[in-house]
Amino acid sequence: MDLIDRYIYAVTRRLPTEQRSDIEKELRGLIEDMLAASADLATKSASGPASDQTNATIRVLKDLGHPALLAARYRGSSQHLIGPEIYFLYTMVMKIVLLATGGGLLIAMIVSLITGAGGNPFTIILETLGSLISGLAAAFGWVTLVFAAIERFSPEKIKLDRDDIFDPLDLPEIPAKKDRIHPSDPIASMIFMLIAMVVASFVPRFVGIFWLDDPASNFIPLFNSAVFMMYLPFILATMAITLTREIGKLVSGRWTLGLALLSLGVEIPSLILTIVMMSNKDLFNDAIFTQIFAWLHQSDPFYFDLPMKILVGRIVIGLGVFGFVVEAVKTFVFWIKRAD
Amino acid sequence: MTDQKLLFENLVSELRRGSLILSVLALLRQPQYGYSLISGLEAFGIAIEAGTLYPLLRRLEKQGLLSSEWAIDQVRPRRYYVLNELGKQTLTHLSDEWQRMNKAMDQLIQAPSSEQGG
Repeated sequence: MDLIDRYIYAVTRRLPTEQRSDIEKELRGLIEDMLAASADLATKSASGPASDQTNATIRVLKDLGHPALLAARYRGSSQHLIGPEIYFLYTMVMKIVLLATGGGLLIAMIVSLITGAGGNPFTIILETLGSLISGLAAAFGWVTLVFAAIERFSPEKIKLDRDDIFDPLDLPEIPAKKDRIHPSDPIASMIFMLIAMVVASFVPRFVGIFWLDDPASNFIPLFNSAVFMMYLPFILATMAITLTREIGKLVSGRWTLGLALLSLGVEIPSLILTIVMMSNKDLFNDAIFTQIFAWLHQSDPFYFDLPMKILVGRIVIGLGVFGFVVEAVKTFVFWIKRAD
Repeated sequence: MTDQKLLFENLVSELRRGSLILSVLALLRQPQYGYSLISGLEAFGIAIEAGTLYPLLRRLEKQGLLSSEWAIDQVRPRRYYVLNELGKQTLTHLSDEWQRMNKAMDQLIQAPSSEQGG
């Protein structure tokens, strides 16, 4: 009896909660039916009744097969997070992402060691080990999440699941050369984006001016660390969105109107973030401008109407808006051509 | 030799798999519970694994071909399955298809090999 309970438990724990009790009841009845049938056959057998029953139970359960397999049959639908159609892309992207993240962190470590901006070398190395673990885990999770979403929600997959009749007339046109997305494009963007994410996390330590003033090395960061760190989660989030878009481009392999619009839409959060950040006058570190003017032998930037940092911020915003407008026009042109 | 045997067994079970649903539907013109179906099919010389049949019944019910209810007036509670209206129609269609295929396969298998080459 105990064996049967164990077997049924092993099956039902793999099933959705709402089906468990019903399948348990049915399965128990079925096993008892099978046992009763085999007992009819066994009455002629000479061995002792106790071991007989155990043997019969074992035989019946073996007939039913491995609980995991039986449960899988009860569940019916395919049970994978990422199916064979996109699995090769998944492993490819995963390798790239892990390598780029790991590489970026190592570069960050080396730069920190050289500039000495991150404290003593031992701390830097320990810190890097810590970031490697959390960074690689986060990268792994993110890639898996994106691919699981593609598996679930991509229109093509949904069609396959519904077993729709394949109509050759629905086959997409072979994309014109300019519409094709060569894998190297999104892959390069992904690598760039990942390294940028790592660098962004270390910006207060990296971005600034560094010079050797024998024997000491000097480093003045460009940003106020505290203010920058406040924005960091948003920076990383917008970068993660961009990274997702690149994976989408890789999987799609062609420019479609939807992808182009989505691609443009993804730029909006980064644009907003750029404007917000660059409008914050506390973002920049005053010391860096003082130092630059000292080198230029200008104690006071009298020839600027605006303080230097506000000007820099406006230039960056201008570039950001310009870039967005260019993208928008490109998308619009693509749309017009599509409409023909 | 054992590889060949394994291959042969795989091919046979693949062949059987296709006819399984039809044989189950055919028996389910009368209400049946899981084990009675197994012994019922065995009576016709059709072997089916319990681990395949029980989940199949639920799937057919979910697809709307069967209805089921618990019978509790017996030694142990049993879930009885039976064809509903859609199930009956489906059985008719499948049987027609089976007959047609059977005829075609017979002809194909018995055809002289010289004609196959043409």
